[in-house]
Amino acid sequence: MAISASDFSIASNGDLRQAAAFVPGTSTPYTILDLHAWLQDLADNAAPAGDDNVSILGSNPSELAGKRNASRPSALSLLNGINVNDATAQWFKFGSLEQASGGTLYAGIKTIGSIVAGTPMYIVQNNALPNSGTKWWANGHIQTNIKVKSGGSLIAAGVVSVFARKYTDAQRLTFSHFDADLSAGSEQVAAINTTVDAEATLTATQCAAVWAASKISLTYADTTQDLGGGQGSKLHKGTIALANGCTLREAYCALQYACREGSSTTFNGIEGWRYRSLDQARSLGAGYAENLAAPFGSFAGGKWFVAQGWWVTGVLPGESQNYQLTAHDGTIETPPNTIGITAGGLVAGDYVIIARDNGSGGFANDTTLASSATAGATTVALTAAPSDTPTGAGFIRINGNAHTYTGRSGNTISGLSPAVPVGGYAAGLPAFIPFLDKVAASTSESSSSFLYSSGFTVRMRVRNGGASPIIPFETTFSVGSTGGSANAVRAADV
Amino acid sequence: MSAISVPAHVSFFGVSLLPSSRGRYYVGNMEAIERQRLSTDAMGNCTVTLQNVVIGSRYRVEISATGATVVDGVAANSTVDLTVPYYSSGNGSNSLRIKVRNGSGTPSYRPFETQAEAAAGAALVWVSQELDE
Repeated sequence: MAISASDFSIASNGDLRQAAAFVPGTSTPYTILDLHAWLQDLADNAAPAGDDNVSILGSNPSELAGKRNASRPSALSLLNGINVNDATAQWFKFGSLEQASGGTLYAGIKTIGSIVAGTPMYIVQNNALPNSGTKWWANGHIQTNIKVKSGGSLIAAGVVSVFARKYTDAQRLTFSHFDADLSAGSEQVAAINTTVDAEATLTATQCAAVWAASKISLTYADTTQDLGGGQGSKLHKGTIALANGCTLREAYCALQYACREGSSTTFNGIEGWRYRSLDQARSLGAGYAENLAAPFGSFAGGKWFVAQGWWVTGVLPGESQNYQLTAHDGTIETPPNTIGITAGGLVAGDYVIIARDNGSGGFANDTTLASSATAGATTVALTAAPSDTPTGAGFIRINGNAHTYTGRSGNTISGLSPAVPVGGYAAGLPAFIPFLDKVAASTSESSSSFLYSSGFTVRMRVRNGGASPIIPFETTFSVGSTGGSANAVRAADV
Repeated sequence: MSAISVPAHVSFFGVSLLPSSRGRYYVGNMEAIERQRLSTDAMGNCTVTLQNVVIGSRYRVEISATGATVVDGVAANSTVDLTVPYYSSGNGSNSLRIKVRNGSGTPSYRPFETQAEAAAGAALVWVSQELDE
């Protein structure tokens, strides 16, 4: 589009200035090539016309790198004192503008990607919002230019970041940002993707209320914690403390809200609108993978996948399974998954035993005694107790003898009942830990809860040779992440 | 310029001066009249020929040191003969800057600029305009 001469003036000192400020969404930007064509058009005039002091009387005003091509970005050098200021530069797009012998560079930036129509975007340069935070582009994909070199020095190495973080009462979108290196000039792209965030069910107003109710607080200090899911103690670099009944979804929404465009919240000094990760907030240099869509972690399927480095406290009991952490070292941490095993179809007096299947019609010996146990002892040490057995009250068979116990701590079984019999136990005797090993007191018996690790198969035997004799019942069934159960088939043995 | 002077080589009041310039000179009736030139006056004209000019291009010849216009116009042919003054040897006004531009039409050309030295006789300038397309 040919430039309208009335839009600009060129003073005799080379100052190329706008006649009126560029209005986003109203003014139509010109391409860099348009500017070059206009300047060259003026340059072959016999004498200056109007307020545009460029003609053949003066030096060449501009030079294009390469040939004129309207289908590709242009790299234009303004020569011999011709220059624009920041405000005037807002009128141009699709290329870069260099002046002051290369000491000043306005480089083009263009966003691409799949976005929700009208997604607002903003640019962060050198940890700040350029132009005092006043955007010179309309909502939706942007194509403009921005000063990346001044006085011969690149601003923030020529890198700018484009963000899209909309969280309002009317609409909540997934977040996105992209770092673009504009130091080479011309026009560079930034990939931005947004979708409607169906998990962000709290409005901005509701999120503000979450913060006002002090339901969330954050601390930025090392803490080594064991979530209990089998990953062991792990270092975390910060803590998200939930309180006052804060649900995980409330936490997710409120933290998204705090990271929205225009947020005044800061995270360890980092403004929410440019917060990316705990790595950034604490200047760890650990290379945490950024979650573009949700800086504090995504929420999906009712579960919060908390961003790396954070430890979370105060999770409501009912949501104890609905989150996942990533430790500082990158280890995925899951909350403990406690399950149980249930036998049904029983009658009081049935004897039921359920233990790991050995695959050949019997029970597997889980481990052995690590050391001898003297008669009367109520504590024994095992070589390697399976982690997925009850740590509270349970059952144990040592060399075939049935005992109950009151607690298991690692490989140590305590509270044996009956105590170790006369003669004691020698080290190395076989031992296994049944999940049930008792006379049924009702139609259903359940094991104590234990930590799920991985699936396995158990064998169940139900017998009753007493007053209501049955044909011995035996079966196997699988135990998964939700536990396991089976019903006995009681066939009378009469 | 014109002046009335005593012939420089004529002894006058016992002083004998040698001429520093030559020009029209008349002597008679005990007087001598000669026409002298200042060192800044043109000594004659030089024909500057621009060759290979894109027809329709604007050209401009100016004095390099001052930017003062010597001649300008629009090329009607690919060869343009221009008459420019030349000066005594060493005069800065002999250094000319020649601009040829054609940025308005289609195709457009990058501004061409070169220099030439005006002297007795002619100066040939080969113009090489690059497409700005």
